[in-house]
Amino acid sequence: MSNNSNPILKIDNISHKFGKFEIINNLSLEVLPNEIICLLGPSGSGKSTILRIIAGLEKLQKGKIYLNNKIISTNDFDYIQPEDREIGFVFQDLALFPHLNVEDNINYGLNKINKEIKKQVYNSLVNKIGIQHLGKKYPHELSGGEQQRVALARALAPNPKLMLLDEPFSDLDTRLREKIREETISILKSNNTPVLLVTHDPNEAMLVSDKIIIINNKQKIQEGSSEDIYFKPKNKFVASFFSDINIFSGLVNESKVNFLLGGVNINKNYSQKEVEVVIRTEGVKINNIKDESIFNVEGEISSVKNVGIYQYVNIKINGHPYLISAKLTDRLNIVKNSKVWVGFDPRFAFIFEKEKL
Amino acid sequence: MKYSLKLWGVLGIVLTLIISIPIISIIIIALTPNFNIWGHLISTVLPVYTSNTLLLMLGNIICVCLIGIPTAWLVSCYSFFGRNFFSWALILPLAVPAYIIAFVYTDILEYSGAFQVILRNLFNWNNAQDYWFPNIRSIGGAVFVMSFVLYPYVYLLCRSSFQHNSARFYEVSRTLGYNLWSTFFKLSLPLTRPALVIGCSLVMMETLADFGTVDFFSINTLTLAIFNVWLGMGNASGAAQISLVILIFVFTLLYFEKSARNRREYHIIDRNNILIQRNILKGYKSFIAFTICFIPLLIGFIIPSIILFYYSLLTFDISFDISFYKLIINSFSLSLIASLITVIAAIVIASGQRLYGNKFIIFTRISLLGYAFPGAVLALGIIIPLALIDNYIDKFFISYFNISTGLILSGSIFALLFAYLIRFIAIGYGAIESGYTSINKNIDMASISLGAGKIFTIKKIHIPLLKSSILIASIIVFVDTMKELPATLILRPFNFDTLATNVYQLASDELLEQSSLSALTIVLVGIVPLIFLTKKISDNKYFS
Repeated sequence: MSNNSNPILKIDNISHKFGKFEIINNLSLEVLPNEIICLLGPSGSGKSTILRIIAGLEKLQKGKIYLNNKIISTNDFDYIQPEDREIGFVFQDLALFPHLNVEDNINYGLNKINKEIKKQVYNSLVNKIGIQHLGKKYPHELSGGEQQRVALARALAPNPKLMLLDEPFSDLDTRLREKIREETISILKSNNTPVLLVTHDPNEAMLVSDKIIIINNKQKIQEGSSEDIYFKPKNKFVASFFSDINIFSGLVNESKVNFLLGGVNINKNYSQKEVEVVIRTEGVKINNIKDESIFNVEGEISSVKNVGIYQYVNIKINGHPYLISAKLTDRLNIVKNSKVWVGFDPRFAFIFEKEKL
Repeated sequence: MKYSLKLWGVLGIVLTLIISIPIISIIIIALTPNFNIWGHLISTVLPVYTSNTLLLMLGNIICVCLIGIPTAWLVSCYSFFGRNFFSWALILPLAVPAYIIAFVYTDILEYSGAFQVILRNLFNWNNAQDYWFPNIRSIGGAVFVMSFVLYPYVYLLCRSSFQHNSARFYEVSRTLGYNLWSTFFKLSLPLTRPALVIGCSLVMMETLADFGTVDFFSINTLTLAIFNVWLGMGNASGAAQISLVILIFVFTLLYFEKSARNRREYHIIDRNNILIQRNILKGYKSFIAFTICFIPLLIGFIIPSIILFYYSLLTFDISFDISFYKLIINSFSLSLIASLITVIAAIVIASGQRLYGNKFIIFTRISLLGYAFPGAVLALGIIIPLALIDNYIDKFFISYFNISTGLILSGSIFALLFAYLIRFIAIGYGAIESGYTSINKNIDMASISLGAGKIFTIKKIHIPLLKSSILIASIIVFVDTMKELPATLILRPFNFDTLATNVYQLASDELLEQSSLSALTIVLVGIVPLIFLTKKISDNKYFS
């Protein structure tokens, strides 16, 4: 990776096992200053364990971790205790101290500085986060959103060099989640604190991050901006993680791959003649009349469901064993059994070599 | 459904009434004395009894905290030599009843005991004037022996709190710049407060209920005073008045315990079941940790067990005879019947609570109060109303059939079983209720929506699923019955001895060696429920 600035956090080939079960295998990643990075992957893919290892809550078994170019963790004895790492952590369940009020919760990490400065830090933080009125309340008296803000304030108070967030919004209901997420990210951005955030929600990852790292099967699968990952997925798994997909088999023919719905131009060589063509459901297009340039395969509507501005459609095509799914933004006047013409948007079409079983 | 609600309602009322009998009768007797010594009590002995009781309770809670908290902290947060062993072994002293450890240590530590004999020989002292040695038969001595068998209450509750309830909090604390040691004072100790209050309340209740130790050491506590005033001076009203004072203590303790339990609801239970990353101690630090954990185990379990075992071997030929068989049969059959009755009653209460929730809660609350009443108070509260009923029955049979039935209730094991039921139903309930919490409530709904009645649901769904909880409840009640001393001593039928009463009588007559086989049997049987207790803790549940 070529970057001008030095990474705040560098993870170098770490591996981790729980007993016999391997959780992480040879994973490396970097977090640059002011960068928000999302670790995205299905539940149980070891994302939270990575955060816990970085924070020092789990002992590193193999590899190296650097913070500001200094080794903080290896599998040897030069292991820095979690309390000396200056890494903030917001847990999924927040873990606010139930016996302390909001003020004492936030001040908890400020024990080493003098009273005056402590007061200043506290005041500026609660004003920024908008929780100045909650100081004397106890955690169980707060709403979900308020608890979230307090947990963030508490982790930010000691001015950590890096912030780790472990699925911090997953316990909030949908509407509140969006609001709190936006607030949190804007606070972290304005604080210039680099962030490593774990989530299993691809939309969340695309909305908040500068960079997404996809984790699956103990390993890093792909790394890049949300655009990169959405439009240039490395494999079927990554493609399917962001939306529903249709899978067709295709045949390589010089600079083109031909499949049921037409042809896709290619600019690289494939080792096999037979490949898989993956089309996102939002990439499948349908029309009531035939149009040779795009809509040239005939199909029959098997089901239609209108949800908000979207229209979810399943289409039957003669000779194709599966129904084709489409997620349309321009609603069509169709019902079950309507005859339609089907095409696709090549931006949402991806070619992969067939995976060996 | 209506029918079963009525049935459960009636059962609830009956049990509640049964359990309230002793309290009600004590209040009535105390307030309507035929021979009022209230004024006399207050002006003479009551202040001494009360201050002794308070001193003993205070001493015990200080000592159990000094033993229980550090050991719980060490095994929760550090890895050191022997840590895995101590983590369960530290609860072993619970198997030793306080009166047995009192007998053992008096035997070793008093003037003629082995310890002082060795000291005298070692330093060439001739008699007591040559040196100072604390008198074991004192409040200090009682605190010493009792706290070494009672500390596991505090140890267990604190350990559970340190390990599970706040594991996530330690992690937050460490990411906020605190090491394990400063986290302990700043966070863990305050977080443990509710558990600590419960542990200390239990210890104080045990202290208040203790008869064997204070009797042996002649410390005039309120419980001992009941014996003296009632059985020594034949004044039941006076004893009832003293019992009232005890009940005030009991209700205060219950109040503290209850409010501490309520406060626990504020704690966030760790969903991810994260355990603390234990710090590894090496070298002298490991040795210090080992010593801190080893001393309570040594004093509370190892030394008493070795001595009892040694004496049992010495006296085996004399002790192991037909009378020992009789003791075993008495103790085991009594405990078996008691556990059967108590567990059935506990199932009724627990399933009533499960099925009818808030409608039933008043029955549940009252029924479970009994665990806090000292055996002596219970005995007094039971025997007087039973004797009254006996008189009526006797009169009735004499006038109609010309047969005297005598003391058919108060003079038989009926009275004993009655006392055990009241005293131990809460323990049985606790075990069964914790089984109930692991059965999804929707299962009840599913059963009822399929057309099954509530009784059918209990029979076909609950009881099979609760099998292991019922077994655990039975074992715990069985063992507690076997260890129980004061109520058994008062209420047992004439010439009916159990292992516990046998130990008490022989040891009071300074015949510890002859009593050791019975004592050892009680200790060995007492270890059995601890195995379940250990399992329960490792299953990440509260000990309650």
